[in-house]
Amino acid sequence: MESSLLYFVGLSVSGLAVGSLYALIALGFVLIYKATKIVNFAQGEAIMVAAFICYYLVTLFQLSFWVALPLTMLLTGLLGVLSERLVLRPMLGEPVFSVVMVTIGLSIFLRSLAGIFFGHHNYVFPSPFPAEGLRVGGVVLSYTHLWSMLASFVLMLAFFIFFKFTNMGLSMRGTANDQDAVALMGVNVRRVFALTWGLAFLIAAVAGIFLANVMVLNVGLAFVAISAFPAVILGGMESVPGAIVGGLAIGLIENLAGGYLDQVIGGGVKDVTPFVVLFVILMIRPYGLFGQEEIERV
Amino acid sequence: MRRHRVWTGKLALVVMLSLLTASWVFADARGVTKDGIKLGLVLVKTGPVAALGLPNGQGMVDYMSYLNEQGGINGRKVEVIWEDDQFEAPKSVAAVKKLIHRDKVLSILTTGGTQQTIANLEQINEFKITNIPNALVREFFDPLQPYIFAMGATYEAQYQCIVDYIVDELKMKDPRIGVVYEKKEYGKISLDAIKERAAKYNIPVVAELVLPTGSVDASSQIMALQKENANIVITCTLLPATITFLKSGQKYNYWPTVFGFNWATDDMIVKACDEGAKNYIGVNFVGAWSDETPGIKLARDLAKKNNREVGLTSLYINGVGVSWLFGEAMKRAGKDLSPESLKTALETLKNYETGGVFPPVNYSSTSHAPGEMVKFFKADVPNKRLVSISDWRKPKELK
Repeated sequence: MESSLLYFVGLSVSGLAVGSLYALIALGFVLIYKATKIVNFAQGEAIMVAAFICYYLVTLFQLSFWVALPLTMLLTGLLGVLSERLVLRPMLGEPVFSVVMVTIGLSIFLRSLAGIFFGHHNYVFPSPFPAEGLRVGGVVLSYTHLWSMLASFVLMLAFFIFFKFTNMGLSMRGTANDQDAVALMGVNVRRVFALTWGLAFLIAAVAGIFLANVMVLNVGLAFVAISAFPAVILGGMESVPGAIVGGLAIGLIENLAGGYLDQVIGGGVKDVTPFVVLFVILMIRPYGLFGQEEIERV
Repeated sequence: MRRHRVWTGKLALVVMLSLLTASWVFADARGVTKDGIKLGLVLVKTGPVAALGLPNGQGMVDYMSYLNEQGGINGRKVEVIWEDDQFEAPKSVAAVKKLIHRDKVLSILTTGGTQQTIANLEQINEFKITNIPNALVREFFDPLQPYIFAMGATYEAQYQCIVDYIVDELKMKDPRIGVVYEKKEYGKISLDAIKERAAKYNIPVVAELVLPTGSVDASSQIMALQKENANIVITCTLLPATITFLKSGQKYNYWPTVFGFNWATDDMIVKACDEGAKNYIGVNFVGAWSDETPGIKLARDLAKKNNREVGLTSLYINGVGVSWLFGEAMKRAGKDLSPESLKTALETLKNYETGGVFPPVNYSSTSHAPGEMVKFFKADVPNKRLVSISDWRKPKELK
C-alpha cells in the first residue's frame, strides 16, 4: 500500500478503535437518557468504580480476568440498581433539573467512596491482552481495542434486539416516551428505572475495564467519560446505534485531526475537534444524527 | 485614703505592663514550645491527583517521625499537621490560613504546586512561612523570594541536560528529535527549552505533538512521529500520558529512545509499560528507589516501617528529602528556633549532602535557587524499576 494511503488507513483504524471505547461509554449515557430523560453525570464514576472492582478481583482475589469480567459487570450492575433505589427513586416525579443535580451529587459521592475504599494511588491494571499490536497489511490494531470493538458491536446488537423485541425493552421505550401512560397500562415504571440503571452501570463496567487496560487506573479515570460526551450528542441522546456510530465517528475524526492537522495548525487540534463537532451538531441537528426531532402539535 | 488608692492603681499598672513586656520578650516563637515544634504541610490527599500528593506528604511525615525517634530536634519533638488542598489554590490558601492562625505552626514544609504557592505568596511573605514548594518554575527564586527555597532542577535545566546527553552519550549519526508535550505551562516551557538547545547543536526537531493527560491513546502521535522518522522522542508529559505514549509505541513496534522529565521518571513507568519502557530514559533531581545510597536506603526503610503503599516512589523520596532539609535547618537554628531563624539556617546549607536523595544543596541569603542538577535513569524491565545510569550532572555551558 502506498505510504500516504497506509497512513490514512492506519489513522482511521486506530481512530475507530479508540472510538469503540467512546461508544461503550456513550452507550451508558444513552440507555439512562432513553428511559428516564436524565443525563447521568455519575456514569464516569460507574466506569471508574467498575475498573477498580475488576482490578481487585484479579489482584486481591486472584481471579482470572475472564471470571472477574462478568463478576464485575454483575456487581456494577447491582450498584446501578442500588443507586437508583436509594438515590434516584425518591426523586421520581421531581423536575428533571433536580434529578440531574442529584446525579452530580452521586458522582461526587461515588468518587469519594472510591478514594476511601480503593485508595488514591495510581494502579497498573493486569491486562490479559498482549501489549504488541496485531498487524494486518501494515495496519496496526491493539488487542485491547479489538476486543472493545467487538464488545461494542455485541452490546449494540444485544440492545437493539432487547429494545425491539422484548417486553421489557418496549416498556423502557414506552417509559421514556410517557411515564404516566405506560404506568396506566400496567408497566411497573420503578422496575423499569431500576433495570435501566443496572444495565447502564453494567455497560459502564465493560467500558471501565477496557479503559483501565490502556490507561493508568486511578480515581481520575471517571473524567474520561467527558471525552465520550460529543459522541452522545453526535449520535443522538436516545439512540443506541447512534451512541455506537457517534463514538466511532468521534474517535475517527479525532485521530485524523491529530494525524493531519496537529502539525500544521499547531498542537492540540486533536482534542478540540470533538468539541467543535459537538457545537456544529448542536447548531444544525440538536437531536443528533440518529435522534428524533420532537414535534409538538398545538 | 484617696492617695493610697492612686498609688495602688499606679503600682498595679506597672506590674501589668511588666508582665506584658516579659511575656512578649520570653514568649515561644510561633509553633515552638520548650519540647515541641509544630510544622504544617499543605498537599493534595484526596481527589484525582491525590496519587501525587500522598507519597510526597507521607515521605515528609515519615522522616519527621524518624527524627523524633532519634531524639527530636534539639530535644523538641516535631508534630506535622497535614492539610488536604485537593490541588486547588483556594483550598490551599484556606489551609495555610488555618495552619498559621489556628494551629500556629512554625512553618509549612510545602505549599504544594506552582499555582497553590503563587496563591499563597502574600501569606508566605507576611507570616514568614519558609517552605520548599513542589514546583520547578524560575519565578520562585529569580528574583529571590525570601521564604521560598527551590529544590529541583527547572524544566529548562532538565531538558538542556537531556539534549546534552543525546549529543554526548547517544552519539547518534543522524538524530531527529520528536517532541510530545502537554499544552500546559510546563509543556510549553519544556518545548521551548528543547528547541533552543537542539538548535545550538544543529539537531532538527522534526515533530511537535500534543498529548494531554487523560488521553486514551497516542496512535496518531506515534504515526506522525514514524512518518517524520523521529529516532528520539522527548516527552514533556506527566506520568499517565507518558505511559499511554510508551504503550502505544509498543503496539506500533516503534522503538525510538524516549526521554522524560522528573514527573514521568518513576518506577511506575516500568511497572505499567513493562517491555514498552525498555528504551525509556528519564531524568530526575531525586535518586532512584533502587539506589544503594544511604539516603535512599533510609527512604526505603521508612516506607517499609510505616507500611506505606508507595505508588510513586520518586515523590516519596522527594518528601523525605524536603523534611531532611527542614530537619537540618531546625537543628542549625538551635534553641532559638523561629520562622526567621529557620530561614537563616536554611541559607547556611553549603554543598549539603542528603545521602543521594537530592544533589548537593546550596542556599545563601542572596540565592534560594536549586542546584539545576539531575541524574539519568533507565528502565530495568526484568526487575520493574528504574536504575541510575549517571551521576548528578548540570547542563553544559554552551557558547
